[in-house]
Amino acid sequence: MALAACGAESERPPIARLDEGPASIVVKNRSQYVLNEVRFHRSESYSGADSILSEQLSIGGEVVVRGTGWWYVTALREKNYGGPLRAYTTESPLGVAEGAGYTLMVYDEQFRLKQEPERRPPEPSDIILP
Amino acid sequence: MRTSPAWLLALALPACAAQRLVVPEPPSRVPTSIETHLEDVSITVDANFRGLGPYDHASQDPMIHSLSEYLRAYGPYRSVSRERPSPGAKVVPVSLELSIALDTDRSRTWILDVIAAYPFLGLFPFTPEWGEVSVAIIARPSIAELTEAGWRPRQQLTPIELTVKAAFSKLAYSWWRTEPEEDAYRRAYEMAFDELGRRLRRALERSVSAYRPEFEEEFAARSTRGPKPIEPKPKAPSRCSQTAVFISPVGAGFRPSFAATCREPPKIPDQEPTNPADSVSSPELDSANPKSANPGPNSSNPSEDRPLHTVSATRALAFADMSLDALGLTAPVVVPTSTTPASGSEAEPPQTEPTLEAPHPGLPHQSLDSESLTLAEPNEFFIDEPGLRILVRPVSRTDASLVERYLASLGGVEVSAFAGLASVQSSIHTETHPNEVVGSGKATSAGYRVSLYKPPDRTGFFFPASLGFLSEDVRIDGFLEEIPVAQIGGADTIGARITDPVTGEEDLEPINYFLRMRSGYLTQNIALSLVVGTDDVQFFWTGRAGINLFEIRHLEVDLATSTEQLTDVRGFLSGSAGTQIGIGIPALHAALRAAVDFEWHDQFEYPTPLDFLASSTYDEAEEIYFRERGRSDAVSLTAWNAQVSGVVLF
Repeated sequence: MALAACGAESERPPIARLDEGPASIVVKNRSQYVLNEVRFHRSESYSGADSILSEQLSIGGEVVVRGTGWWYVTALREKNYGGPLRAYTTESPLGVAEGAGYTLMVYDEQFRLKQEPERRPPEPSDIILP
Repeated sequence: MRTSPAWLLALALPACAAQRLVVPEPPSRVPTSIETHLEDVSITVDANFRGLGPYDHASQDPMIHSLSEYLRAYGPYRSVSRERPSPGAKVVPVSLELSIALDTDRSRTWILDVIAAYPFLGLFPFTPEWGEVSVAIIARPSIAELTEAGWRPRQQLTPIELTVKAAFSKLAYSWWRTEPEEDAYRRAYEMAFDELGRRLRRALERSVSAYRPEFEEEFAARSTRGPKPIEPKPKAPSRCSQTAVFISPVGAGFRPSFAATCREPPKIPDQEPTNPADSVSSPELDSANPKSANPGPNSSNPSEDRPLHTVSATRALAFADMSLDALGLTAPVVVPTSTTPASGSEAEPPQTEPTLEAPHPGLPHQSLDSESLTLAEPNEFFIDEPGLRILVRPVSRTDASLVERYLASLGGVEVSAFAGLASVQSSIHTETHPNEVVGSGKATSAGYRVSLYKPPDRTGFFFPASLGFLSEDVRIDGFLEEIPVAQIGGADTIGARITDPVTGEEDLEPINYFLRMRSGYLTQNIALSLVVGTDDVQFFWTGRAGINLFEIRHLEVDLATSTEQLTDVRGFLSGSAGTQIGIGIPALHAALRAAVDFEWHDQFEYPTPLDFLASSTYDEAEEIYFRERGRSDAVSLTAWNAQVSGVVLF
């Protein structure tokens, strides 16, 4: 059993171990904007984290990352057309259990982490979180 | 018997109609002592009134009686009445056929009527109405011939045409009150009858004297043989349609000559013309005639016999509307009227003759002498309403110089304190949000301004065109809204914290853009001014609305890293309205006013559509709340400006 997310760090439940190896997280852009960057970072600050994207993630596009543990996720995009770049960071970290499969849907100003029945099979293009 | 509302209305409506036959005050003129030689003239008046009101048919006799009094005041005549003299009477019979047309031109502001009828404003019964009454007289005098067989015209004289207009106004209960209009008719009759009497006497003085020897011969014949019909003779005074002044060279320069454009050659008893050029009577000829140059006590026409040096200097320029057929000219001639004597031999000292009467108040005063040399005698007169009134014509300063009148046309210098508020607004039109305002902004302005301003000087509708320029720098903002977080089974929904990646600061501002809006436009206005007051103090109110027929627009939008701009030409996409209220005191050269103006510019197009967010809705498919991203093509602007100001009038 895995917990998709939790509130305060002190309330984190233990990560269930479903399979061996890092979990698969399919990041889907369900927002109305093109995402310039998507960063996974362990602390609240996203300043030192690198983007997992090699190019902008189009509306409806997806990318698969593999990792385990607690992660904050930040999406960077234009606030509006021609407007300034803004960072949209999860208010709390997401818990990812080893061996599980997840889908992370990025909306305009919200995120939704959903656990899938199976982990996605590894692909060479998958991005491995540090 | 039942009384229906329609009956009551039918009874009430005539009560609101003013009488148009209003007997004027008796003539105040005291007959002057000048010898007019018209004591043997008997005038028979036949008047026909047109344009009568529903209550006027029974009151024509008093009107004719009053008219006769005014004619008598310019006598003395033997008689002035509706009765013809008997065939044997030793009188000069004159028939005076009068056609008197009455009319009322009234205006009212239905806008103010509606406002007055609206019960919560408390303006009832403030229902202004104003207008002018018109008394137009065409008098056809003729010297008649009395025979046993009857009465027939011997010589038709030049018709006298007069139109007198008098203003009236009503501020309250205008639908019921009739006395202002009736007073205006009374004043118009007074002036019209008085002017008619003056002109008729002058016409008779010229004509009757020419016929008098003929009449005396007839009287003598009657006394010996009894009355008999006398055939009209071709030798008759001229039927001068009008008098003209034209230039004739004399010596080294030009001097004006006095001419009459006549349908028949005039036959002045003492002077027979010898060629067609003599069909005009000229002061030169008259002055050459010893009898004319030195008019004796029996001179029948002293005015025409008078030398030129008696011409009033105020008639420096007389515009001669000449009878082109008679003179063989093709254009009017402007004649500088000189006070120089016609020639050295004619340079007699000015003759002092008694003036006929004091000028009637409101009438341009001319002595008979100057009138005889002038063509453009006014035939239309206007009498303003005395006292507090709705001003329909500007109060004119008769003593103003040319410079003063020019400055007055500019109005004065206005110093005003103003405050403005501009609002912009953008909407999106999507399937989920068919017409939703997604962005708005406000900009304020305040300050002082010095400008030229002219207060309205008369009541009425005006249709001024104007050029305007709009300049607004304003930020338009989207709306902030907390988006609900919907939790669903098997998933965890997490809100986002928004920060600026450059500064790391949290971003709590909505989407916004900085707009620079410029517009130059041509406006067609319709304005209604109501000016109430006296010659000294005037209160004014103006309501105005206008549409911008033509507009050049320029819009700049600041984006994060660039500025986009668009210039285009549009029409009928903007307009304005305004109102003002104030007081003017010309004697103090001061005015005060307060004004409010409203501007509206629709569909000010963005260079490229701008992003905004609609209000949050629930997406059934995604099971999440979100704000739809919408792009707006244009922005609308409304602007309010208010000001209070003081004006120093020139």
